[in-house]
Amino acid sequence: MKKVDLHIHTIKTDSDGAFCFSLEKLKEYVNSSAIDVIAVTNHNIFDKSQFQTISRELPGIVVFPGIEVNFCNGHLLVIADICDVDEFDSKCEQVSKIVSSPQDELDIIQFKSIFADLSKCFLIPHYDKKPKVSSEAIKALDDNIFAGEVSSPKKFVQAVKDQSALVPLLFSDCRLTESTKTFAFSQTYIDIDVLTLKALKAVLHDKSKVALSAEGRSLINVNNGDMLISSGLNVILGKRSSGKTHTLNLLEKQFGSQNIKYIHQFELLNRDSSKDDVEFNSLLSEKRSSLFEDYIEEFKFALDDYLKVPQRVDDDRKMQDYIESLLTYAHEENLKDAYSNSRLYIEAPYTLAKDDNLSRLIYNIKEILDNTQYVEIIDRFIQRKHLVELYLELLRIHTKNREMVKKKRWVNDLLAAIKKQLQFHSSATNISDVDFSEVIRNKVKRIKFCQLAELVKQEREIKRLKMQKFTIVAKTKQFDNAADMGAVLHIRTKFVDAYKNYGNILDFVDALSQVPAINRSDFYKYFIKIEYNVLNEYGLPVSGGERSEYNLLQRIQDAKKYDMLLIDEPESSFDNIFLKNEVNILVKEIAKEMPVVIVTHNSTIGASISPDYILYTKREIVDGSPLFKVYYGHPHNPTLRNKDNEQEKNYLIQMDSLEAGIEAYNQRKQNYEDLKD
Amino acid sequence: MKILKISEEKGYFSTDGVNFEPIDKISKEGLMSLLDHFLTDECEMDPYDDTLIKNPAHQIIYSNIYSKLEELQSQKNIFIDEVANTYKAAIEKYKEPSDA
Repeated sequence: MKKVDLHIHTIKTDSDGAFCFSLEKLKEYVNSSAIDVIAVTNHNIFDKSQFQTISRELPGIVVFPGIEVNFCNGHLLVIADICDVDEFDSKCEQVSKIVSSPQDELDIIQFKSIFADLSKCFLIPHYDKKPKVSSEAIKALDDNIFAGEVSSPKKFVQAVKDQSALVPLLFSDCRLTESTKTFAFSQTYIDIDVLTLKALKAVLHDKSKVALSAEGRSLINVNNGDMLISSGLNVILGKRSSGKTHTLNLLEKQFGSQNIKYIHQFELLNRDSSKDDVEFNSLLSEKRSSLFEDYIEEFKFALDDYLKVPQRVDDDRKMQDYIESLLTYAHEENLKDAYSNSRLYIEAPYTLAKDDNLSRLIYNIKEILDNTQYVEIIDRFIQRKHLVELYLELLRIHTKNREMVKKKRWVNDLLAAIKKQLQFHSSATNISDVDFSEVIRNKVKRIKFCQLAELVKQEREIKRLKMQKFTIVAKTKQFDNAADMGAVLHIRTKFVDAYKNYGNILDFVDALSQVPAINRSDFYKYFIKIEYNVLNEYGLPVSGGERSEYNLLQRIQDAKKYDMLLIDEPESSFDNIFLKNEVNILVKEIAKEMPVVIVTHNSTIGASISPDYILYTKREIVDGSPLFKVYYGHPHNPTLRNKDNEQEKNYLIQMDSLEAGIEAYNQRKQNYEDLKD
Repeated sequence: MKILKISEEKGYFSTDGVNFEPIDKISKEGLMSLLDHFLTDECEMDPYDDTLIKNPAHQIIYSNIYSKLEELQSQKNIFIDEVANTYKAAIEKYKEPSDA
């Protein structure tokens, strides 16, 4: 098998982040990773002299000239033969002229006119890798496209299994600089002898010729040969402290820790309800910010509006001031003077009414008049002439109202100026002003808001999801106590006073305002919470064991978004019979879609699950320091070997790890035999 | 019901349409009550006429309150719509038994 990386960047372009290419580092990469074939592929540019330098400095391998072209919404690698480099160079110049910025791209016609004879190149589109070349474009290039680039081992495995998919290729897409410390492990192994472009193209029509390891396509090479794992189900055995963490670290290096779904030991027993909403939301098929936010949205708007309403006490005081000053003024016989006798002295300003309803009405009528989609139906029921007359009449009234408001405003300004002068000179009491309409409006808002909040506080089911035999029910629930409220934003602050007022809406909002740690914008979170209950197939709340099973199901569902699933000692969370039946089935199912690694000491899992591959970790102390070795192989191989070709007997490994040794196993066997009799 | 009336050269107010009190005895609660009735019931008010009220204090108080309520009258319909629409969408949503 030959190791191939046909996607390497050596020139910084506008489509790249900052980097300064190091040829020395490329040499190191090629040598340490034992790569046989590379291609130099930069964004929309080809530098012939750099290519020739690179070829010269890497005499032991094959270096193809190439380019990564912006093409039909995606990227397309175009690899040419070494003997065609001059012709390729001039074609690439044409590409660079058209594609001079990251936003430019070639369309099919332009592409075909530049690279007229497509049989001379090897075309590799971004296939299951962003940005993808459109499927129409791939079709338009016919038989010239038979292989496509993917972005992860999982996608590689999926493409191999999918009969309708192109032959997958996985490359590094790397930019090597002096400071690069670790090399990517994304290369493809190809079953080929002669390393010419023609041979490559011929072989890459056949999926059975590509793999992620030298040993074959169902195996993945991890960390440049540290170990092999199967693209299906792997079981890791080993004594405690034998290097499981070390092995998991190797996997993280290969796949990237953010791409691995890791189910930790005992995690499934966890009944941490604070993660419930995140888990539930991840199961929803539609993209929502969150079930709670969606549900509470209208209430949130109403609450925001209500928070702008002045306090009851402020309105009361305004009314109080008004009536007191009015009465005082009226009874102040002796303080009357020329100023205070003026009519304007006690004149109140106009209230300026806003008539949003009329504006909305006019807007809606205009919508009907302007509509073209349903004009025939509208005309059937309403005479357009009448509608126009209605519209014009309302517009007239609206204009008149606006004019009136303007006039009132003018009068109010003048009135204010006059009153100020009069009051300044007079010794009589000033009458404070109050806007009755505002007072009423505020009162109505308080009443309606209470009504609304009471409705929101009613407990009800808002969503129900089924997951195999389980049902998860999301219900709204009132808060149980002050600590419950404190859990909302996980802030250490006292909600005791606020909770005391929970029953009275208006007082409750006031009490929330007294809690310094919370913003007004978060008040809406404190009226109701969502509780998620898991029910079993009988509609009853799950037991502890059932909960663990559900947790596992949920994690496995979630794992589909990742490239690999890692399960650490599932036996800690389940009893044996269950392990054999349910867990094994679930795990085998998902191993069909992505690599799964299980760490276990349990024979039910280890042996009975029939893994595709076994790994065995061992710790040796060499010169006082721990040295971890990982042995691997097929379950039925008599021995497992490690990267240095050392071997261990498979039978012994399984006995020690799963059965606590041969003696114990034999004793147990005898015990069961005795029991049977 | 009648909420403001002029009688015997004095101004009077009522919060129930039956019992009337002199206008200079009105408190803020009384005023609030007048407001509430004004919006919810069909209310009548005797128009202010300074020839009919002789008590100067009554004149000032009655005329002030009357003109404020008069102004409100012209906006009564707008109010009714506004009240009906206050938090309407939200109330409708949460009245529903379930979203599921």
